[in-house]
Amino acid sequence: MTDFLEESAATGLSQETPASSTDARTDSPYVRIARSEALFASLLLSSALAVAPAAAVTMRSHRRDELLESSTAPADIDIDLKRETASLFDRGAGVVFEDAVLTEFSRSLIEFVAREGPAAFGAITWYVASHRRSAQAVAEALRWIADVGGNDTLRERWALLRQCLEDASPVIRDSAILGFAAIDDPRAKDVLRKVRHFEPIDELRRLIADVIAQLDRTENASVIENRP
Amino acid sequence: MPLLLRTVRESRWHKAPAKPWLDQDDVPADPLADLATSEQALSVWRVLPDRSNIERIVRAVILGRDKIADAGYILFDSDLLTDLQIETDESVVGRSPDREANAWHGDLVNLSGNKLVGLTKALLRHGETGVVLKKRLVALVETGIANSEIPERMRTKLP
Repeated sequence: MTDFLEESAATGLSQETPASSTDARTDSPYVRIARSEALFASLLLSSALAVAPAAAVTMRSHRRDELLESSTAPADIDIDLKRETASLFDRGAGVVFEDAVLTEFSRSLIEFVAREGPAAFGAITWYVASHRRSAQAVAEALRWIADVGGNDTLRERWALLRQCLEDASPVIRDSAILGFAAIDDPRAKDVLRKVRHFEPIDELRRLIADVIAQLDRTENASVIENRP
Repeated sequence: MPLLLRTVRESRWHKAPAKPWLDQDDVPADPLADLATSEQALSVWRVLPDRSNIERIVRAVILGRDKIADAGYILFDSDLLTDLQIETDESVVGRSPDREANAWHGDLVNLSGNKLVGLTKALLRHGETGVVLKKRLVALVETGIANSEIPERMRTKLP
């Protein structure tokens, strides 16, 4: 695995077990995976059982705290950038989105990401973890930003999608899966396989399988292209 | 009876566990956003028995939008319409850039609010959702242009 992926795995863990950003570097990969899977399983189980709204709020705020404490949490986001991000997403909150249709929200979002670069993703990550977020607007954003930008923001886009794969909202998980399809990097197969195991919604498990199949084809095509 | 297809935002149609705030016989409101009518009619597409035209229908619909992107759809048996007393008009051809695909188009007509809610309930219970991923759609558009199924100008929709 490349450094990039190892760092991604560590990023995932630090979001899930905030107290162990140092541990993440010393534990074996199996311990890391076991820990993150155990937490993810408990999150999804809570979600699947639909225990009570209060539990969902607790879970969300727990995730928020984890994010704020994690080593990858955007601790130093400019307050103006936060305000701009919140305002942007608030404008998207009331929109009824359709596949393949640009809206004022998606246009503004693409412009925002192009202008702010990696900092935009820190602000979006902050917004996703906030109490006031609109799940529909976040989901729409993931569909567009996965597709926008080059290698300079790949790490940030990857980390955001990775985080959102484990979100309590199925709408956000749905878009995160599609985001990995848009990035079309076969290295995402491992993480998708992992979350598929715990995904409680049939349609999302099927979507993950479709995306993994696409990534398999991408991988096979690149093997053929590189063959001497 | 044939299967019918309607393009939707697939995530609104998950068969998720029942929501505690929803009455037993009620439906969530969000899926209704995918069933926006015009003149009491709703556009649908007929799927061939072997389902071989699903991707072509989805491509035709998406080409009428801003940009090629992941596209969701829901399939349902037209028998459901009989139970709901919903009429169809198969003479309404599609207006997509794919002329052959347009022949598969039809309208559900004379829809009332109650019928639309009934249809939503039936689709949530019996519908089958799917997504054509963007990468696949891009390939389908390129093939369609090469085969002259769709006009060259559709290339502008590609990323």
